[in-house]
Amino acid sequence: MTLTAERLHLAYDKREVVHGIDLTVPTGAVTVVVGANGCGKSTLLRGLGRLLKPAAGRVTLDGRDVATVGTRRLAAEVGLLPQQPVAPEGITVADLVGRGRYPHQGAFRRWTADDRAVVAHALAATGTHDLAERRMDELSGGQRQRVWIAMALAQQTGVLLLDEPTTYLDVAHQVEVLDLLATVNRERGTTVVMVLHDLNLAARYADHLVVMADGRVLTEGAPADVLTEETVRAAFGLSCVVVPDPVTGGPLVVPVSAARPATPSTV
Amino acid sequence: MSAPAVAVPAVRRVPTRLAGLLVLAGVLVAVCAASLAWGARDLAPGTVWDALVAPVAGNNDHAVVRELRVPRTVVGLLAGVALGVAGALMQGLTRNPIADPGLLGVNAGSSLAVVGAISLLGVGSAAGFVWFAFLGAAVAALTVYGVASVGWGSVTPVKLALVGAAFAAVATSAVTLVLLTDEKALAQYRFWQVGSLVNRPWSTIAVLAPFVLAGLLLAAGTGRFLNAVALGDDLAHGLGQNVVLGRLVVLAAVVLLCGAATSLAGPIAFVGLMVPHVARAVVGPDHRWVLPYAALLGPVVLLVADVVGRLVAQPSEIEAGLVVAVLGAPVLIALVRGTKAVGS
Repeated sequence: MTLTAERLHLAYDKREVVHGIDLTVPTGAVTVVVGANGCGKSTLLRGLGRLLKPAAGRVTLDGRDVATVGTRRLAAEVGLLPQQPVAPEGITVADLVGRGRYPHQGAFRRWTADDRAVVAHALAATGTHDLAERRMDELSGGQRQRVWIAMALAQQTGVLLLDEPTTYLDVAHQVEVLDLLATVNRERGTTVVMVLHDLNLAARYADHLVVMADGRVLTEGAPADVLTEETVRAAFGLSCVVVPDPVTGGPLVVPVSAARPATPSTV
Repeated sequence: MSAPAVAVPAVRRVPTRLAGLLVLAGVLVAVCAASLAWGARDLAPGTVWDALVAPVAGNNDHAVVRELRVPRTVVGLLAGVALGVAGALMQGLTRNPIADPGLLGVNAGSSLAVVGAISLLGVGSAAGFVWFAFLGAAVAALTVYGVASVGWGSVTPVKLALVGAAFAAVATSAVTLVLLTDEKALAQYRFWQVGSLVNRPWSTIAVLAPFVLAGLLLAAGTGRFLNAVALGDDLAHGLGQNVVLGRLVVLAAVVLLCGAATSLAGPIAFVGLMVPHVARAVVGPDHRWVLPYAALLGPVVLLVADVVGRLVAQPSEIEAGLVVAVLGAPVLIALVRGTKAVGS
C-alpha cells in the first residue's frame, strides 16, 4: 500500500503552510518527519491523513486520489493518532480500543468474534491486556499512549500516521512507545509515518527520515545520509556536532550552545 | 490468529445493561400508572382502570382520567423522552457535560417566538403556541449553527457554546422587553414558560408526536458517531465517520426533539441536563447505551416530577418544570461529587 503526496499544498484558511511537497512514503517502513516548530510537519501529516483538504495537489493511496475514497473505506486503510488525544471521562481501556473497530463495522453490523479477537490481539501486542477493565483516567501517560496505539492497531490499517506519539512522556516511556511502534512495523509490516521532535530518537527509529523546513522537504533519505551538521543548521538554525551513536552507530546530534561553549578537548 | 484469552468487557456487560433497560421500562410503566391514578381528585384504582378499558359516557371520574390524566401522561412521556435524548445528543455532540438543549438557543428561540405570537399576533391558545414554539426552536438552532460555522475552521463545541449563549442572551432580553411592556402577554406567557404538562389538547399531541418519533429515529443511528466524536473530531474522522454529516443529523434530531418538547411542555431545562448524567453514571460513556437509557429516564423523571407536583400542593399544583429543578438539583450535585471522588 503506497501513500504519496503529489505537489501537495496545504493551508489553514488562506495561510499556506505546506508549499508543494512531493513525497513517496516507503511501504512497510518507518518514516519519521522532523523539522523546526511551525515548519508544517504536523500539517503535512494531517494532509496525508485527509484531515485537511489540499489547497492544491493531491494525496494518493495506491495511485487513487484519497479525496475520491469513501471516509470509512479510507479509515480501514489509513489509521491516525493525533497529538494528545482526549479520552471521554470514565471510558475503559477495552471500550476505547473497541472503537478502533468502527471502520470495519457497517451501520447494522454488530460486534463479532472477529472484532473481539482483533481487540484482544491489539491489547496483547501493546502490553495493555491487564489494563482492559481499567479506566483511562486511572492510567499513567505511558500506559495511556500504549492504549491509544492499541486502538490504532485494532483498526488494522496498512498505514499508521502518528503526530508526536512521545510528547510529554519521560525518556523511558518514549523509548518504550517507539520500540512498540518498531515492533508493530516489523511484525505486521505496517507502514508507519510519524512526526517526532527528538532528532536522536528520530535517527534511531527511522528507516526513512524526512527533514522539513518552511513548508518544504529539505532533504530525505536514510538517517545516516540525511542527518548532517549542515542539515540541522539549515532546518533548525542550530550549530551541532554529529557523532556516531555509541549504542547503534547511527548519527547522534549533539547541539553546540552559546552559554556552555565547547572545550578544546572535545571538538 | 491465536488471540490470548482477554475478557472484552464491552461484550460481557451487554446482558446486564439489557436487564437494566427492562427494569427501567418497568419503572416507567409504574410511573405512568401513578400519573393516571393520583391527582387532585381521589380515585380508586378500579375506577381508573374502568375509565381506561370500559369508559361510561357522562361519568365525571372517567372523564377526569380520560380527558385530563391520559393526555397529561402522554405529554409527559413524549416531552420526557424527547428532552432526555436531546440532552444526551447535545452533551455528546459538544463533548460538554453541562450542555443542554438550551445551549443551541432552542429554549430562548421558542420563548421569543411564543412571546411574539402572543403580543404581536394575539395568539392565545396552547394549540397556537405550538407552531411558534417549534418555529422559534428551529430558527434558533439554525441561526446558532450558521453563525458558529462562519469563519475559520469547522464548527467547534466552543464556538457553538459561545454563539448559543450570545443568542440566548439576546433572545431572552427581547422576551423581557416585550413582557415588560405588555401585561396581558406576561400572564399568558408565564403559564407556558414555567413548564407544565397540563391542558394540552389531543390535537396538539397528535401534531407533535410524529416530530418526536422522527427525532428518535434520527437519534437511534447516531450512537457510534457520538462515540467516535467523543475522541475528538480528528480521531472521529480517522475512524471513518463523516463528521460534518453526522453533526447535522444530530442537530436535526435535537431540533425535532427539543422543538416538540418545548412546544408541548414549555422550556423545561433541567431534564435534558440531568438525565444524560444519570445515564452515563449507570452505563458509562458508550452512547449506544446512554441514548436508550436517557430515553427511558427522561419520562420517568418528568412524570415523577409531575405527580409529586400534584400531590404536595393539593388541592393546587406545582408545575413539573419547577419540581424537576427542585428535586433534580441535589441529585445532580450528588452525582457530580460522586464521580469526582472516584476520578481522583
